[in-house]
This record gives sequence, structure tokens and C-alpha cells, in this order.
Amino acid sequence: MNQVLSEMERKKSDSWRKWPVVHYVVSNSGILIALVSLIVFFALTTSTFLSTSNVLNVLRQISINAIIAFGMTFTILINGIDLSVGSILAVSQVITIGLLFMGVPIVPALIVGLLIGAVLGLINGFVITKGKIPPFIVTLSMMIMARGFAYVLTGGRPMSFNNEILSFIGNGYIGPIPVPILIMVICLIITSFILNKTKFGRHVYAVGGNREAARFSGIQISKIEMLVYTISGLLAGLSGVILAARMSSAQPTSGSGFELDAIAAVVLGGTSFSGGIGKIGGVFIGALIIGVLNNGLNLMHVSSYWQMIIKGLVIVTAVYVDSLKKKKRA
Amino acid sequence: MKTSKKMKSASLILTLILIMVTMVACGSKTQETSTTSSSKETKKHTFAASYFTLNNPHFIDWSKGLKSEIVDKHGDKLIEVDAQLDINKQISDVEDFIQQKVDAIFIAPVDSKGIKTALLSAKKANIRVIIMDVPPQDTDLVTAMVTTDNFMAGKVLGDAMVKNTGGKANVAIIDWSVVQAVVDRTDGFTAAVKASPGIKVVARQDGKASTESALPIMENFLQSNPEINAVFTINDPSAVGALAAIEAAKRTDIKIYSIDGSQDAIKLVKDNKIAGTSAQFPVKMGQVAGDLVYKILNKENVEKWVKVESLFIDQSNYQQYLK
Repeated sequence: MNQVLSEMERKKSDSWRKWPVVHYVVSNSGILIALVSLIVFFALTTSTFLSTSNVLNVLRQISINAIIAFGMTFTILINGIDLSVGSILAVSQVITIGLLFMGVPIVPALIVGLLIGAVLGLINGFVITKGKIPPFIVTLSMMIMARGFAYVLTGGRPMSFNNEILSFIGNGYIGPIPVPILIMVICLIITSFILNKTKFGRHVYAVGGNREAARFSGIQISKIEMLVYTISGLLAGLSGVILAARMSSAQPTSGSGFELDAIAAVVLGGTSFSGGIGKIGGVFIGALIIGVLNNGLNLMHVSSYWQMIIKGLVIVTAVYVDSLKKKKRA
Repeated sequence: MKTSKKMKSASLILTLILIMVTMVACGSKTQETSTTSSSKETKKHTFAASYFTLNNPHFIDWSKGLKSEIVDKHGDKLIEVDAQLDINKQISDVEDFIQQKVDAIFIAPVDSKGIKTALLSAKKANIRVIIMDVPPQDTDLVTAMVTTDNFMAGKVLGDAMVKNTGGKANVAIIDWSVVQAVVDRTDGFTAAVKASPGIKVVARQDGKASTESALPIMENFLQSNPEINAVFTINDPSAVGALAAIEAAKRTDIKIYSIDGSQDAIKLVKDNKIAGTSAQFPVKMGQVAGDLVYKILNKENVEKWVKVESLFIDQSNYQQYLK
């Protein structure tokens, strides 16, 4: 609770508060510096990096990871974690496309696919709160089970399809902007709004900051937890549908390892693993850093093996610089 | 009081799970007996197969071929396990087979080097191993190997590219160089295009042989090397990913050359979306491997490495292979 209080005190005394944009830039400067320096570096070393088509290309590539990471942020904020997002992504994907193959129209199939994601998330939350089992273990079991479920549903085979609405979601444009980017931005605005402007959002921060204090102040922690994991599952399901739409194919192996990419984006974005501190905007910058690295190193024709080494180094350095900044301020 | 209630519900769930497991086990048992009762031979054999993945149609076809020989033709038993791309799981699966004292083990290794541990255990237990699809490093530890002629698959693809482009193309390669079989494919390709200096490889990246890895790689290639007009992908899932990127960018001038000959890819050939795919014949390979195991058990002399040939499927001949 002390942490929460001091955080509030600090905010009140902060004259920046009147200028949300400026306040935001200052409080996230560590990661922003990392992002800007990466962009400058790639702009100087490759001729194509800053072209409009490549910028849209990078944003479209990060949309899947960013959407998953927004959901992951909620779970890490309340001191939990969701390892099952990659598998939930696959289940939503194969159920949506499977229904499509069975002759169900695309809109209901999409809705069922998203609901399945939310329901699997809700099951995570339910078992965590009612069974008093650590989130790491519950979502690890769900990760294994849901992956098995995806294999069972497909018999292990990828399913290719042709559908106009889906190809619009995956590869279409509204004006000059690709649809996956728009979906990502909408998710960014909604999740940001939930965390900053609603009672539920404040409760999420309170539970993550100090669980006991939150319980004594009358917050129903089990409700908050279930909702948080449901949001994470729903967003994983949404990203699954977008990924299938982009590839015109649903695959039971889809999304393997995505949970780690999402966690990397969340941590890069300045979210604290001990809960209670973190912002969706920061997580978006984190996802951007990973995407810019992937794309820029590819444009420079760096081999994929070296890319892994560089990526790991950048993640740990960026978080280190950020923690130095925070120490200075404190 | 509360805890006892919880204990009750927990034990109830456990019992339910146990009942489910026994039901499933009995179900599979009855299947086994029904297949064995139809045969006439006196001695029954049990074989086991470990595939490096069962989500690729290629290995599902391998399994079909094996089953048609072992189960349908001889009425013997075949245990099949999916290693899910995990070498550790594969090794422990093979060790389980050895404990069950099976008559021979078929393995499609996840990792040509790492499989050595499992091969040694099998040798110690005096159980014969037949390798499927991917030759291991330690070939002296195995009884026989059945693979596609991977070098040839790459070579017929390269020949087709030279012919279609008149020996002039800017090629992007989506590779997966950790697997020996894939290295053989790219070697075959290199050998085929060596005589045509007009064919230049302008970009190359590892795509982990999967659709979702190949897609962003191809997108980035299109940004960095817009002059690309031919793509060589080392398997069909990679080709599907590359095609998604090319179609999203509305580039109609780029032709994809792939390897596998899966039904999905042959359909793409039919719709003129890819140039072609070097076919492997996994069902046939499975049958060859199944046939081989009986020859080995009967102490006949067999070739150690059987290579099943490959051919390039394109506009001119796809009808014969489209199911």
C-alpha cells in the first residue's frame, strides 16, 4: 500500500501531470531512447528502413505480438503471468477455421473463436483463484493442454482456406493503413483506457501494488483476477484469428513460443515483475523495439542466429538503462 | 470440515481422470486385437515409430505408408509417437520403446546429431533401428535408412528454375540449415544453377521450415530486395508463408519453387500461384521402410541406404499427382 500511496503522492506533486504527453515521454524515456537510437541506426545503415511501406510493414508484423502483450500486461500487473497465450491463440485459430470448413458463416465463426479464447482465459483465472495454485503452474498446464487440444481438433494438419472477410482482416487496408495495425491501435486505446480511467483498472494496480492492503480496502481480488485472465485469453484469441487471416492457413503449431515474445515486450515496456507498475503505452514501445530489431537486422542481412544474440542483449540493456533512470528519479 | 470437502472433490476428480484413462486404454486395446486376429502368421511382431513431428502432412503420409505395410499387409502392431520437434522427448520415447522390447524402431530424427544417445541405447539392447527421412550423423549405429534423395530434390528444382527463367533470376532462399536433409537440398540447388551465372542469390534467411516464420522473412526480403523474382523455399509450409507475403504485396512477378509435393502445394501449382514443388513420395517411402524391416528380420541382405527419387511437379504434370 505504501508503494501505491507514494506513487499517488508523486503523481500529485508532479507538475507534468497537466501535460500527459510530456509526462509520458519523461517517465518512459529509457525505452524511448533505446527505440529512437535503433531507428536512427537502421535509417543510417539501410536505405529502405524508413520508407512508408517498410514502416507499415514493421507495424503490421508487430501487431500480433503487441495485442498478446497488452493482455499479458494485465496479468503481470497483478503479479501473475500467462504462459498459455500461444496455445490459446492456436485453439482460437483452428476452431474459427474449423467452423468455417463446416459451413458456418464467417462472422459467427469469428465470434466463437474469440469467445473460446476468453473462456480458456476465464478457466485459467478460475483455477488460480479457487484452487489457490500459482498462476505460473496453472497457465503452464493450460499451455500444454490447449496445444494438445489444437492438435486433436486438426489431426495435426494445417488447414488452408480462402475467405474474403478473413483476407481483408489479414491483408486488407482501410485507406493507406493495413487492417491488423488498426486492430492493434484499437486494442491499445481500449486497454489503456481500462487501466487508466476505470475503477477496474485502479483495482488492478492496487492488487499488484499490495495484495493484502487491497483486500482490506474491500477489493474482490478473485473477481479482478478472473477478469484479468479472461482479457488475456480474449486478446490471445484475437491475435490467433489475425495470424490465421494473414497466412490464409490455420495451424495447430501456431503461436509456439509467442508467450515469451509477449513477456519480452511487457518487460521492455517498463512493467515491473513484482506487480503494480507498468503502462500499456510502454508495452507498445517494447513491442516496437522487438519488431524494429527483427526487421532492421533482416534488412541488413544479418543471419538469424546472430539476430537472437543481438535481441537478447538489447532486451537486457534496455531494461537496465530504464532501471537506472527510475533509480535517479526515486 | 472445509478441507475434507475439498479433499473429497479432489479425489473425485482424480478417480474420474483414472476412469477416463482406463477407458481410453481399453479402447485402444480392443483395436489392437481386432487388427491382429485377421492375420495368418504365427509369430506376431511389434514395431515402433517416432516421428519428429506429426503436424506436417509429409509425416502423416509416411505413417500411412508404414501402416499399410505393417498393419494391413502383415497384421502386426505399430506403436507411433510424435516427438513434437523436441529431441529430448524423442530420446525418452525411444528409450520407452526399448523397455517394451519391440522388434524394430523407425525414427525420423529431430536432430541428426542429438539422436545418437537413443541410437546407442537401441544398439545396446540389440534392437534394430531404421531411419526415416533424415540421415543421422552416426550412420554406423543404424541398420538401414530410407530417405528422399534430397540432393536430387534440390537439383530438379534448380534445373526447372534455370529452364523457366532462361538462366537469369534474382533468388531469395528461405532455408533451414540446421537439418542435414535441408542442407542436401540447397546443395542440390546450388549444383544445378552453378552453370548459370545469371542466377544470383540476393537474400537468404533461416525460416525454421514453418509458415509463420517464413511470412515476415519474405515481407522483409520484399522491402530490402525488390528486385527478387524467384524464391526457393526448402519445404511447402515455408512456401505457403512466402506466398502470403507476396500476395499481400500484390507482386505477381515472383515465382516460388518449393520442395515436398504436398497436396496443398500441388493445388497452388494448379492455380498457377507457385512455379512448382519437388515431390517426395512419403507414402511410398513408408511402404519401402515397412517392407525393408521384414527383409531384415528374415536375415536377407539389404541395401543400407535406400533413396527414393524425387521429381519436379509443375504446370505440365500436376494432374497425375492431384488427389
